[in-house]
Amino acid sequence: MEEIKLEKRRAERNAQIRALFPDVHGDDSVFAGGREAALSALARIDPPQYDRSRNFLDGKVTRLSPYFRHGMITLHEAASLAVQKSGARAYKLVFEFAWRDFWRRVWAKRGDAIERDLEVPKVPVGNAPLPDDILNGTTRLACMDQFVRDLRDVGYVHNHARMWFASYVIHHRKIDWKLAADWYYGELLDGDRASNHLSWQWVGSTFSSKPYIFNRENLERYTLGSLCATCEMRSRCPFDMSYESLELKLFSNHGVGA
Amino acid sequence: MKVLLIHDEMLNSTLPVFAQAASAPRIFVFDPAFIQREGWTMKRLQFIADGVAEIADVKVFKGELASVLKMIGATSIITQATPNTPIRDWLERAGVPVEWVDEPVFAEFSGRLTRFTPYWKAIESQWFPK
Repeated sequence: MEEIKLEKRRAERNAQIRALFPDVHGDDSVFAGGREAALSALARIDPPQYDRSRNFLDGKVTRLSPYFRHGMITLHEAASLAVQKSGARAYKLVFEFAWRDFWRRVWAKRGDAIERDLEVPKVPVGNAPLPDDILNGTTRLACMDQFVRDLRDVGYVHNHARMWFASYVIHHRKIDWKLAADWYYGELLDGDRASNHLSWQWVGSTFSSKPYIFNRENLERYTLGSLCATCEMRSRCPFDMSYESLELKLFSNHGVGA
Repeated sequence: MKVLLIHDEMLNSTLPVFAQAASAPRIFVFDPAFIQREGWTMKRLQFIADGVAEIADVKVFKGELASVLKMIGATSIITQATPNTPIRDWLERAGVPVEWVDEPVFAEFSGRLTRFTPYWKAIESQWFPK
């Protein structure tokens, strides 16, 4: 046990933390933490632009979630500023902020039960272990491997990419969502059991009325084709089909048409 | 002695709990066992340290929580309430009474938590009055 005098300068403090915890893995954080950094990020929000572009990987998302998670800013003050800035045009951003509050309330109500299926899955799901190609980002699917790099290198992943990735892991690979959610939680800067685990359950259909799936057209649209263009699997893309065909492929083998 | 235990969801001295515990010594504890259970990365620890470093007059420790509390003579904790069960378990096992101060609310809501849409419909007017 020891008292620590945290270094004032960030680079030195990062080195200090690394020396204090030599067994903890990962690169240095590219995100600066703290109230000041949070307020800077908050000052940059553009609610109308967020509304128009948030689904695109290069869209004007806020990247506030690591700050929310650690209390560096509150949902209330962020929503207040959004409404003050943009009035009714802040609707979509405040709506998305509300998801975090909803998930947190569910956690308060259900406790550790959120770490297990909250409902019966609406489609067949699997319980396969997490394979190395997922953990290492070596699936050969340019999109999924990029999302794993974002997770491991930055600790932050765009929300749409999180949904695509979770859908791939749960529905295409039939991996146990809890194993994936636990791993994801540890790697994320904004890792929060409520938002993270319940979102995995939402994708998997154990806390939603249907599973979340996507196809190549959807992914290509919101990535502007940038990932598919370089993908070595582009001629054998597992997402390159209609939603009807995807449902048949993913769910009908077990007698559920979804 | 009552101490303000700053946990990893309250790295912001403008939160109400800081005013409520204005006279209590402030501490933050990097507990290796807790960190290992959470599976955090180096990025996360550094990000948290950024937040802790900005808070005035906080004593920072590395060690097991109960031992830290004993060493500094803490007989009770005041902190921000949370549904975060790992944090709750960690503090409640430290062997001293814990006073939980409510966290700031986003919206008033007392309905059933079935799906997001009914929740949003119930609170929407608090942010966007009709």
